[in-house]
Amino acid sequence: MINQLQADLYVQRHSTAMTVSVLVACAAAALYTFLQYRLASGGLDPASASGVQGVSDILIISLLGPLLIGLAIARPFETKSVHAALLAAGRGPVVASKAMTASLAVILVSLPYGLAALVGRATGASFEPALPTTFALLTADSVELDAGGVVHLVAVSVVTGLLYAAKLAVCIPLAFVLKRPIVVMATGFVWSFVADLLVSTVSDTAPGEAIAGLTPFSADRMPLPDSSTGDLLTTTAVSVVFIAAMGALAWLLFRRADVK
Amino acid sequence: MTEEVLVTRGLTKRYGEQRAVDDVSIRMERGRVYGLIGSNGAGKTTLMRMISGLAIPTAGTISLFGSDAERPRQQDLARIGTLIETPTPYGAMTARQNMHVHRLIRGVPDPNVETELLELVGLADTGRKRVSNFSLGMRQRLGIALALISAPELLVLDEPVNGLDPAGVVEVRRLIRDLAIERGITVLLSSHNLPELYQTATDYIIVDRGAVRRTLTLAELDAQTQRFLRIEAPDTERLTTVLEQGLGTSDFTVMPDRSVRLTSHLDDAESVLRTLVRQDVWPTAFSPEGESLESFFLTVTGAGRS
Repeated sequence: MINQLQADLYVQRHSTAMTVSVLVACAAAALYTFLQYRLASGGLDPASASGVQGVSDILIISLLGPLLIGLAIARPFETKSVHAALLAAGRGPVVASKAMTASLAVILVSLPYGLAALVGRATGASFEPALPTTFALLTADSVELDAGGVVHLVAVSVVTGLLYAAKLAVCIPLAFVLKRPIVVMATGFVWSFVADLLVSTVSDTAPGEAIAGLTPFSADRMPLPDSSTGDLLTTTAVSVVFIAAMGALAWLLFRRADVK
Repeated sequence: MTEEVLVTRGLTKRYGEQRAVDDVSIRMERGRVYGLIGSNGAGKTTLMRMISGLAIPTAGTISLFGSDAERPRQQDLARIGTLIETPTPYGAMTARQNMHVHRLIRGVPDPNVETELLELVGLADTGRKRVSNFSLGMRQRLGIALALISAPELLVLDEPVNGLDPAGVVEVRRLIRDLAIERGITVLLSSHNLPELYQTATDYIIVDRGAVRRTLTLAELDAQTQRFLRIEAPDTERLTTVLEQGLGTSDFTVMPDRSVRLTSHLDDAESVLRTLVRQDVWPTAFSPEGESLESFFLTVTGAGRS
């Protein structure tokens, strides 16, 4: 599986889509942080906040994440390199490698928001969150940033990226079935919003809330600027297990599927 | 003793009611080149996919490299190289980068293999040119190089000369023959065109509507498709003497029915007849016979009957 992972990461490193996505995420994160500063400083009307949300982490990652998952998984079927991978390693390692690569891609496009929060905080300026997402709250946090604070901010950013990857992990089995990146992107984008609505509905009951708590969609799993190490580790564990579960589902679907 | 590389027994693939591959039992030996010939939709690619572990058979067994297992084991599949359908490598990458991806996938430690194989298929000088700018023939050759990267013992090539110019076709034929002879690789290559495979393959598997209609060696194919003059005369011994002495040829065979198959002088039948008559040998039958490769294929598959 290490060979497959190395190959998949090499492909990602040379992927135009990956490069463009990271650049888009960087530009969006910088713009988002600047607009939040303008909101706080009164340079931007509060009514404009809905427009600012267009470059928020939740929107950009929900858009780019499924696309990158679709590309990481479906592209080898187009290039037929999956034939070589299946001959060399079999279906289990191929699914595992693709699931890991796809998740890493989502984390990578979320990190610019963490970096923007770090830079924003370092300037000492005030920020007004346009949406109460982790990255926006990290940026707007008023606690003075010291070395420990930087480490905590980086840790919260990475865990948030992992949480996004887990929320979008349903795209992994979907990509193995559909093998069309654009369709995966559209479905994943819609799913990322529908899932939150579904979970909030299910969470109205106690058993539903308990079950939802075991998924990355629970509000309790969202890392906050003051999240403890224990909270972050719990979120990490829930995310990793959910990604693994989606990988296992993908393997079940792909195990006996014919490959074109 | 010959070494079996692939044995299939009753291999079947059904899609709903349709049988894409129907009860196929074939046997392939080391170092030979097998031509899988059939019309479009005859089941060639499906058969190749099943052999390569890309499609799951509905019934039947596949034994690779002498294994007793009924399904290909992972360690056996790792000894196969494939080029199935048109190769579409990563377009944004160069040929060498594509080679690198496949070398990583296959876990081949020696990086020199990338250069060696690119030289072998004539793509060593493509430099930083992206594969998206390659011609179809260049992609086809890159696909063959990618299939060879793990030094496979069984090479499965689906229509490998598609899109190649005549010079490219000759080059790929030579490459395939060399791989079999020099490296002992067993090659299974498909085509819908028997003349295209003629003399590249050492053995032929003719399929139609999912089933194997005929398997034969090159020598058997030659015998089946040789053009000749069929001559009968009351005195066969006298006939052969005249052929030897009057025409100066020994390119003939006396068949069990006492007819003679003359494989030379096909374009000079009139002079053959004059010589026989001049020597007082009066043929009771004298006709050009034998099948072309195309007509033989059509006869075997039954397509010629319509």
